[in-house]
Amino acid sequence: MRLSTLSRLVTGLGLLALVACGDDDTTSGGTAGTGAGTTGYQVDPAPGGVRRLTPSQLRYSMEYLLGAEAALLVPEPDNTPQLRGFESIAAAELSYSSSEVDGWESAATRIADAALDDLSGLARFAPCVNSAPTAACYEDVAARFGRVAWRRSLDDAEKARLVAIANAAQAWGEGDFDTGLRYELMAILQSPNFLYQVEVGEPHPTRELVRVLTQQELASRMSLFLLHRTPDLELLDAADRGELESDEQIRAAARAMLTQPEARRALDRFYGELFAIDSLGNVNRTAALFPEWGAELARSMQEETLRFIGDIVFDRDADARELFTSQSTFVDARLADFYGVVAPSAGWSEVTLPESQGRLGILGKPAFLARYAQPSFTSPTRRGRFVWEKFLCDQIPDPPPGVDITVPPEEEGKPQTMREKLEIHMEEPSCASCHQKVDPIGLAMEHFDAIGKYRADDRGLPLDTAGEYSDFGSFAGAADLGLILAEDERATTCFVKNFVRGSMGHLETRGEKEEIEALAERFAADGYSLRGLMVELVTSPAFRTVGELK
Amino acid sequence: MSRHRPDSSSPKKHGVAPLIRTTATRARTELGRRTLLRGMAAGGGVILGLPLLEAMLDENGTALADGHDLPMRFVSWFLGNGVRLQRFEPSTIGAGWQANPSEELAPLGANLLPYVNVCTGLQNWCPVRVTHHEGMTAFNGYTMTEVSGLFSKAGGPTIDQVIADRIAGPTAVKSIQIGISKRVSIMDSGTTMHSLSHRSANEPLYPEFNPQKVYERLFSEFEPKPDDRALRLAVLDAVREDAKRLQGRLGSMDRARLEAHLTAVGELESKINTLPPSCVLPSLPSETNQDVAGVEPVTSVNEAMSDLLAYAFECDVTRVASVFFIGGAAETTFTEIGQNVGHHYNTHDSSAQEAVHQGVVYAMQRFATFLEKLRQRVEPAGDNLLDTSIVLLGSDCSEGLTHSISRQPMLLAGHGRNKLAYPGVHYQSTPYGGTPGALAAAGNTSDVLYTCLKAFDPTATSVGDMVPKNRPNGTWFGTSNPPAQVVVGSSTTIPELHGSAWEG
Repeated sequence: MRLSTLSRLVTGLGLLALVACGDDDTTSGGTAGTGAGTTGYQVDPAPGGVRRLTPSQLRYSMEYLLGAEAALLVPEPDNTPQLRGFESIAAAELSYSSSEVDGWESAATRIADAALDDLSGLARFAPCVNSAPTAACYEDVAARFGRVAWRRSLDDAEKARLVAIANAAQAWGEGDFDTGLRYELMAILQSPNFLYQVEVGEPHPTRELVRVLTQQELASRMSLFLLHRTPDLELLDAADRGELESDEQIRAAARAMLTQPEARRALDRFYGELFAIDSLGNVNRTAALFPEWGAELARSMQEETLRFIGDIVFDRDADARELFTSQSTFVDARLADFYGVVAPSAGWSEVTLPESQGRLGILGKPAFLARYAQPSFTSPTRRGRFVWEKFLCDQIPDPPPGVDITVPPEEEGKPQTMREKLEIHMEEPSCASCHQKVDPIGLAMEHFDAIGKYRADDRGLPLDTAGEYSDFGSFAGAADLGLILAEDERATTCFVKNFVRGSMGHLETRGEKEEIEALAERFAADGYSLRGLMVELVTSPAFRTVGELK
Repeated sequence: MSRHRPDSSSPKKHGVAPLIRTTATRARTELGRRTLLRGMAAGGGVILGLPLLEAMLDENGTALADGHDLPMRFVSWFLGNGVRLQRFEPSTIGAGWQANPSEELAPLGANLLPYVNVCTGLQNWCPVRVTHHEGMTAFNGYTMTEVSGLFSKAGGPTIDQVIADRIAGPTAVKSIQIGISKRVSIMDSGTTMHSLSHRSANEPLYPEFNPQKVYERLFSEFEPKPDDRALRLAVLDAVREDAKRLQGRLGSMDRARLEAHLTAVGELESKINTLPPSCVLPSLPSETNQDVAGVEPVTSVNEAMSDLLAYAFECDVTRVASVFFIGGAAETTFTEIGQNVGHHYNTHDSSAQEAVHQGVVYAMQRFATFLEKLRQRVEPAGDNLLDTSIVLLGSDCSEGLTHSISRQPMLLAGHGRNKLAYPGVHYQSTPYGGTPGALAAAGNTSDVLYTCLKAFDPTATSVGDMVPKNRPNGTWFGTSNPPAQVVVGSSTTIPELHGSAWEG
């Protein structure tokens, strides 16, 4: 029954493809246009400037630059700074603190040592470190390794400064070549040219206040989004040759990047952050109530959700709305036990979840359900808020100051369901407007306890997961909600908005509105391919231009 | 293929570093580092240089012989989600309150209570209300900025940073930010709720939760190693050059961010140039703040961090710290005392107020651990570290149950070389009504910040940007009209808190 609803849905949506825009290529040409043309609107791009590389971008860049050992030495903050739910937005707004600059100097030193312990990483870019380790090689390192680390070619003065450091260090090291190399690497890695993604562009030929990213800047923006790392040598070469100019060239480059294994890892980081499941291991659950809860189970849940998403996006390039509607998932032995399904003989395998549990898509995934709960009980409010904010991109206001945000305690021997307890929030005038919007969504998931395990009832009390809602119509439970979300245009647009936030480091602006809507239409027309959406986003003028420098 | 790496453990093959910087900034440090290279392993720690000797004091023992003031220290210490006021505020006002300490202050014990000034009944005048966020302004006196939903950024520098700018002096680390419980709020966004130290809206100084990393930041500079300071400084020169070139291409916000980066580079340069401390350094702590079977090791982390701070003060590696014990609206559960509901959640639950109280008592015990470590270290002039420090304990609300910012709890432990009253007093601006709902308050929490600041810098003129008497709803306290003279920020100290050496 649910699957037939899904297929009806997919067929119905085929219509949209016809009305969505075709291949009107309004942005081709040397100016990387700004969306003016047959679409009837112009993109007023968000401000340009510099953004810090995020911790995971630093780590994955280091892996590409100097190898896995070096990557392990990149500091990993306990609580990665986010603004508005995104590391990328924090990276666009916050400064480096003294402790970060200090810590990075230490890290750069250790990374340089690791690079010298195993020169194969560095030698990929500057073979002379193996073949001709003499002073002349320092210039080569500056030019070749510097270029890939700084994501652009270095000018003569920049190279000379690095070589001078290397020479001085070599002299200090009594002629030891590696000593010179060590400090040269430290200088390259501590430079703002490595630590910040520069998106300054050049003035647009016709539009004031619009700047067109250079092809090198575009290469970086694409790579740091799609692969979460610095652009590789091939992409930099292509940018230097002027081959990231037309829409088709950019699409081709993006498609090629999405076939690389790092693309999957980058999307893992994106959704790990968006759904806040990266920090799932950090939640407390009352051991007496949830004895199976622990770091291992949390890790399995994280991996399950990421495998689920990766399968849709990368293994099958399937309809992204399966994120809301799919009844299948991936389990290891621990999760098989958790779900009550047959365990794989080894590792992970795909299973169809029991229909009786009503688990469709992310809303049925324990990584989400456990993340948004309290230590001893569920939190329909948190779960509902998650759906509004992450899937519909709608911001829920906060409780007014001073109000009681707890659910009323139970009297001894008189258990109540969460629905009964939350009634006061939905009735009390100061609470009602938001809770009426949020709670029914979360209450639809009440068959899943505080660690996301299915329960037929709540300590013997029957559960009522039905809801009705002007925005959504009526639903019987979480599974219906998933099907409704799949059809909701706001959810379609929200896929685009989340990518804008994650890739460009800002909340979507007024000047990007029409372009985001157009991208959402194209996404729908393209069978809801998230890979297709990523390709179209990086090709979009919103991605290739910036506004006034912030 | 690999070759040997540069030998970084033995100094023998390295000569004097080449002078590729101006000699002026280098001259002072050469001698110091040679001293450092004599460092040798001894027990768990490393002995460096000479201990601070009485010979280094002036004849009165009240200043260093070179004319510098003896060091003072400042710490802000944060306990999120308030206290139980009726079990926190002492019943005795003024001097002698220690004879009858409240239940939530009793954990400080007889040795520490004399060091504590208690400030109650004060109003935080933040004119914007989000819940929790506005309470954080008790540490800077500035209204939050960019407020939307549960998002905000700090509106101005926190008091620890204002003081650090004045007293960091020659120390290696201008200030250090420490976190104890990692389970910060997951529902709040922005910088306000996740950091106790801010330099500006876009310069939060996030806490470090891993004691080993705190150790590294404070002490690893002074471990014996070849003298490559000139090279490191040359690298930082290049960093400066690159940052300045980049700045020239950017807009104002990014230029300011790069400026903050340059300031941080300057602090690192100072650290590299600093004389090694005259003390026995601690050994690397074994605690790394990883959960043990799902339980946060709060007690152990607090112990390790407190040790590191005490060492850092004794060694004069830093003079300013902030300790983010548990965040406001945090997910922290005090599992170690048998609780299984989050402390913040409990504060909102009228039937769980006993558990809240137990949580506050537990937190005050941890605070006592820190203070006691300061008290037990005595400097050559005879003062212990608590005598030379001022430690501000505060929260982001008064009663957790209401999350009000009227009557936010504030303690000042340590008297900062008698700048503050010792033995401490209980200053109360408004009597307590006795119930969580009756939170009358007057005065100004920023006056406490200003009093702290004046203790360190008698020339300071004000703190913060809030207007006392301006209520959140836009009306004026006691009247519908603005007062004749609108006062911005606090320029008022609390005389009851002045000590015998007060100069403000």
